[in-house]
Amino acid sequence: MKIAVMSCIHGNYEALNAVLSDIDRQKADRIFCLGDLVGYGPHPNAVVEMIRSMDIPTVQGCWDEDIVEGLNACECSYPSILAEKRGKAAHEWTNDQIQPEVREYLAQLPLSLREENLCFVHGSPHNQHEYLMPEINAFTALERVMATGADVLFCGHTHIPYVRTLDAGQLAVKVQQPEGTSTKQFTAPLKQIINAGSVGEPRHGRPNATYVIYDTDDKLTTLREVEYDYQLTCQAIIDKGLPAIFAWRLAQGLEYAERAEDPTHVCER
Amino acid sequence: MWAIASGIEGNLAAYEAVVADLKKSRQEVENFYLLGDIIGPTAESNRLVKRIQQPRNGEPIPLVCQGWWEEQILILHTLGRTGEPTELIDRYGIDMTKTLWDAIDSTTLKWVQSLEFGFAELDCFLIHGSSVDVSDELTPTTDPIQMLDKLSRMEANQLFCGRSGLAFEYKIESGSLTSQVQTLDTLSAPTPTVLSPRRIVGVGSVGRIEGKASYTLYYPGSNKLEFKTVRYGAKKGFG
Amino acid sequence: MDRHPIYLVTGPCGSGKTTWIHQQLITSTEPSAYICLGADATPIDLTYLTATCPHVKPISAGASWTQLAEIQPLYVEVAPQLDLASLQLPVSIESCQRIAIVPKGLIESEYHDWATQTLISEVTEKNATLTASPRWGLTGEVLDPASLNVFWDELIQGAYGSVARAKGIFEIVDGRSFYFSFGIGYPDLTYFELPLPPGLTGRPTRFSGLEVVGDKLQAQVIMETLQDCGLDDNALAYYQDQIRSQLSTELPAEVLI
Repeated sequence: MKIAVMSCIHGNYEALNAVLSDIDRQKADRIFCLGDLVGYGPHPNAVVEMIRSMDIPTVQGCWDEDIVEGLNACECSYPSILAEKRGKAAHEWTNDQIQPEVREYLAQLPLSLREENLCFVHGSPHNQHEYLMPEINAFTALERVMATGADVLFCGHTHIPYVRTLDAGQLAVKVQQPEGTSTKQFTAPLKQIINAGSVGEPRHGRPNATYVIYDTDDKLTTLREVEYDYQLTCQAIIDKGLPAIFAWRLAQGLEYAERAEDPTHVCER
Repeated sequence: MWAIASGIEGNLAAYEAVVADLKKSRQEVENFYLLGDIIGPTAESNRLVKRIQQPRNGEPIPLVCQGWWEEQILILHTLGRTGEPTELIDRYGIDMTKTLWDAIDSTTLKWVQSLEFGFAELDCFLIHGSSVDVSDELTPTTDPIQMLDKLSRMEANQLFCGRSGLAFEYKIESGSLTSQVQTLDTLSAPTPTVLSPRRIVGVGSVGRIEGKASYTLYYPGSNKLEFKTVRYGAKKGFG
Repeated sequence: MDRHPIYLVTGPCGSGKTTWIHQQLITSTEPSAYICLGADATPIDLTYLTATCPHVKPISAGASWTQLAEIQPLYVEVAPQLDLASLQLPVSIESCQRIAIVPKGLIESEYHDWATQTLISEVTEKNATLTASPRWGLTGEVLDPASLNVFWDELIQGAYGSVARAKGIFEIVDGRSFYFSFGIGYPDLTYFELPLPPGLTGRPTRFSGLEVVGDKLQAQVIMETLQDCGLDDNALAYYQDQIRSQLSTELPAEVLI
């Protein structure tokens, strides 16, 4: 079975449409979404309505949570005052635009989904705000997958798609207590972290949307990059009164506002 | 030599026994760590805190960090990191909220607020639970990959903790893992990660078991550990 | 007494006049003087030259600079808006060395006719301009360095209009002052700390600002973005206090500012 996993649409309806068309062409059997449906982009309500109408199983992203809770994301996620101000402007605009039923939908989204040996989260199993970057310590990455009990962990949040395969994991442990000593060997079967990238706010240097297709039969993953008319999104950003710099940054394949570089940053809120 | 203790839980006699035991040692105590749970749901906690704040001549000055009971009293006074004392009620029942509230006076509360969360010294991290949560109970049966994660978060080779109240040395002697990353534009070669030895040490509990205080000595020069048990009180002579 | 040379240096905006003057000054240790003539006088150039070349004396345009010319070399940057033919000088123009910095591709011009020496810069003709370039005064603003980096990258990559030349002096939160320079045809992007004493007591009074040569520049947006990069009073007071505390534990007391 082929499953398509997408993430971080961020109100970019044009990109979402393009991805859904591509998923159709790829003949995926199921679709999952890893959250951040809204935030920064010009069509938050349309994006949510599309996801809802297609009944796509979705987890709650950090931006979705912020819109529900009325918060402004954790300040420590922004590495600069400028990024923080842009993030706040985007939050206020999105908060203002969101329709009540859309907010209710975002509020009831689960933090994770499980499908046999596959687990779906936004950031990490521990926190919606934690970035699982491809270069984090291999054992840390292994812990994140194993914490779910699954073999494959799908995540988003970083906006750069990747597949990380962790294999041949072993640990030798010796425990000494006043009452005696014991040793144990721990081995881990093959595990994977698959990051779905971002549909609506790319960070890989090109404005195209990204998502992944995973084949549950042969366990192979395809990273998909989909071109779309991003200028339409850029124009909508300007027409709807979002900061014009977002339009420029999208066209460059840059995130709207930079994120923290700390890969395992966990919000202390 | 470091002396590391935890879980006094307001037991002043147990604390005195440990301090007396340290005095008997011929080696100077360079650092004396108290890793949380200094207080417990007893008024004796207030006397204990005063005693800790006023070490006598020749006694090492304790370095104290917050523990689970300290976090609970802060929560009750809406000074904690979470809003509700859910965990306190789940473990001890609703009546414990009043017991704890009545036991701890305002001077002790103020002292609790001033405590560190943990200590980093050499390649060691010393904390009550873990850097993730003060409630994190690391034990001899905790999954190795979890233990490794707690160490990695603090970039430490050694983690000293006290939440479980148990004395143990959990040594990860070796480890290896292969990682390969595929991105849109690249596919890396499989890269091995090899672990150097590291460990988590449960430092025991001073006051949890009446009449028997346990704590830990650590020798940074030789990297050796010594688990100590001190008996005190009326039953001392009967072992 | 021998007269020291007077160098008159002119050319279009963005052609590299200040860069050339700086190159002459930085390689010399003898006291020199610098003056900028024209309504175009930019404190950025003045601040940059005097901070990096301590042996250079800046002179304001109204001062009696001819007497100084008797005792030291004098570099006079002439803004392109001034009419070279009717340049008012207290000495005869024939006694001055007249340098024109012209962009590549400019073969004939009033500069060529006027100068005793014409130097071709790396800047192309389309990236230099005769019109005054927009500038933004930022004196008193203290910027967050991470924000400044983002803004600067956006600026030189064209987010706010097409930029041929940009230079700025910015104060950042740890009290240091930085000079940023970018120009098409120039060597790599330059930024470095100016050798000035750290400013850690309130808002700085020394000059900071930005000047840009370009096309379709969004002046208002540039100003607003720069303001968004700045710290408010509370944040500034907090960080300056932190830094002063940190310095007081690191340095001997007599070195404290």
